[in-house]
Amino acid sequence: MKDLNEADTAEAGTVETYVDKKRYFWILSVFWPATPLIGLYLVLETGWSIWYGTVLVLWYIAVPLLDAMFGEDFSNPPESAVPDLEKDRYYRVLTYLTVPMHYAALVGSCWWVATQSINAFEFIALALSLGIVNGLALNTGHELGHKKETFDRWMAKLVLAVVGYGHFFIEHNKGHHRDVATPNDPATSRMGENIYSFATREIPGAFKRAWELEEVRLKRSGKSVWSLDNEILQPMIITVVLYAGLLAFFGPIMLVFLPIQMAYGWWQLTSANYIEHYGLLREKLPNGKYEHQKPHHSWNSNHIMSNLILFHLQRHSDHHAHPTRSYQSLRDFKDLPALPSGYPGMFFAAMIPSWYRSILDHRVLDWAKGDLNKIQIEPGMREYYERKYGSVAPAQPAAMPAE
Amino acid sequence: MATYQCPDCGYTYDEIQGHQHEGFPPGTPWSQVPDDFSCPDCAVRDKQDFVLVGGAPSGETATAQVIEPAPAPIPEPAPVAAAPCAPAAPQSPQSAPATPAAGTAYRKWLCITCGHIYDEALGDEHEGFPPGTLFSQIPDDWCCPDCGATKEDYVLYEEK
Repeated sequence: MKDLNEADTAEAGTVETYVDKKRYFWILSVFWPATPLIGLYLVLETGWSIWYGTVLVLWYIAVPLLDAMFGEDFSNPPESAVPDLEKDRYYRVLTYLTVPMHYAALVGSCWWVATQSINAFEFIALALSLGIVNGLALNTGHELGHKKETFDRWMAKLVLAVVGYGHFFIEHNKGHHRDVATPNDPATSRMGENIYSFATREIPGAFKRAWELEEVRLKRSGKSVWSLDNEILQPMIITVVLYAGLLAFFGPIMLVFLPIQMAYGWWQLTSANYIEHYGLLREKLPNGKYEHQKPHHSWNSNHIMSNLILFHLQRHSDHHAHPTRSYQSLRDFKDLPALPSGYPGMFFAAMIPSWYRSILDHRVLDWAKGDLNKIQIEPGMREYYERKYGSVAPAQPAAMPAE
Repeated sequence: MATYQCPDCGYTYDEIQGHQHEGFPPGTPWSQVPDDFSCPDCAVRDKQDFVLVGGAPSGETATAQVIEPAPAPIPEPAPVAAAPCAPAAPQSPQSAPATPAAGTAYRKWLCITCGHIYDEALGDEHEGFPPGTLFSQIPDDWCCPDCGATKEDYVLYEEK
């Protein structure tokens, strides 16, 4: 394949001259959270209330179109350039800069709602817009929460507090990554499961797992789960203080505005979890453990436009195989299960379950080489799939048996 | 007192230091770390996957996992200069495998197709390569045990 050859030749010959073409484009990820404020500015300038919908149009229509237009980027940094990429502070600083952007978007939007005359339709559009970009506070928190340094982890807590989802980095790092693509993971969706029922399993399941993980950790140190060392309580306290402050400053309208934006922020995470491992299953080994997390246990997307506003989150396969790699070093691999669009387009499709299934189900089946036993299937849907796909012969064992 | 390393992300558990944050005070032997312990940094490897990289395990005698060739230097970031090792180059198979000179800097090789890592320090018992088998000593017709890619699909893997 072309892209891999590129990676190989770069490895062999042009080690010194590797230039990261995406280097300065990552700034898009920093500015993306500001888009609701840009929309409000346009409202102010033009007086047209249509600008309240800026983020919704960008996210659900413009970005998917741009993904289709600019297509996919398969290029990988040569492995020899990766240590330098990882060390380069520039990339890390961009993620830090994103943190105040989320706060600015939140406070700016709240100020607007409290001080400007705004009708119900505009109000909802703004709340959902803020929900979308602050759903991406979870993306920033995700990147930072995977880092080993205390400072980065505190930045993660700070940014997750914006949408009141501070338990994410415990849940995600220690729970989701450990259990991904197994029936034990509430954050892995099953084939045939629609996003709405997935949400009712994922949201409480994720919190429960995070809480239990913290409980175990604190117990080992002889501390109560209610101590201030609880890394779920820490960001939760920030959220409470922040939201109480907004309420005190901007008045009771916050009681309506904040929950809507928060819920839609959470919905973005649910959407991401829903599409990232849909139907995928790790094989159980004879010793009762699941095989290691490999790149083909995540749906990947190389769509360049959406990757640039998401800190490469969509190169999810490499991320799950090697969770401590930074976003700038994430690679594409050959023959990965791939999504046909970036996350924004897929999030939209996920909201219409039958459409989503028509896009993804046959891809899951291809991934499993026709063997329904290698897929996580929603209970109750098995018969349906056996009827539908039963005629497909289970694949012959792969040429090289898995270890 | 011994040190154990996560083979994916390089996190090390040092028995002398323990890991306060995770609730293991200094001096906690590896044997007291629970069996369901996952790497606190990457969570994709767990206790059984960890490798002894320094010192001797306290208490019991060495387990089967122990790396034979002495306190093998951890394959820390191999110097960048090592890059010219083009993946394909079928280097002359050096004499007897598994007996490299002490102090060899072992390296890791990454399957560009599936992400499988071949660690020279660990070898691959299942494939019949004892610990310390250099990548260059592996037969050219060997394939990735995970995905079947060829030896040429491997590149030198350097850690952060």
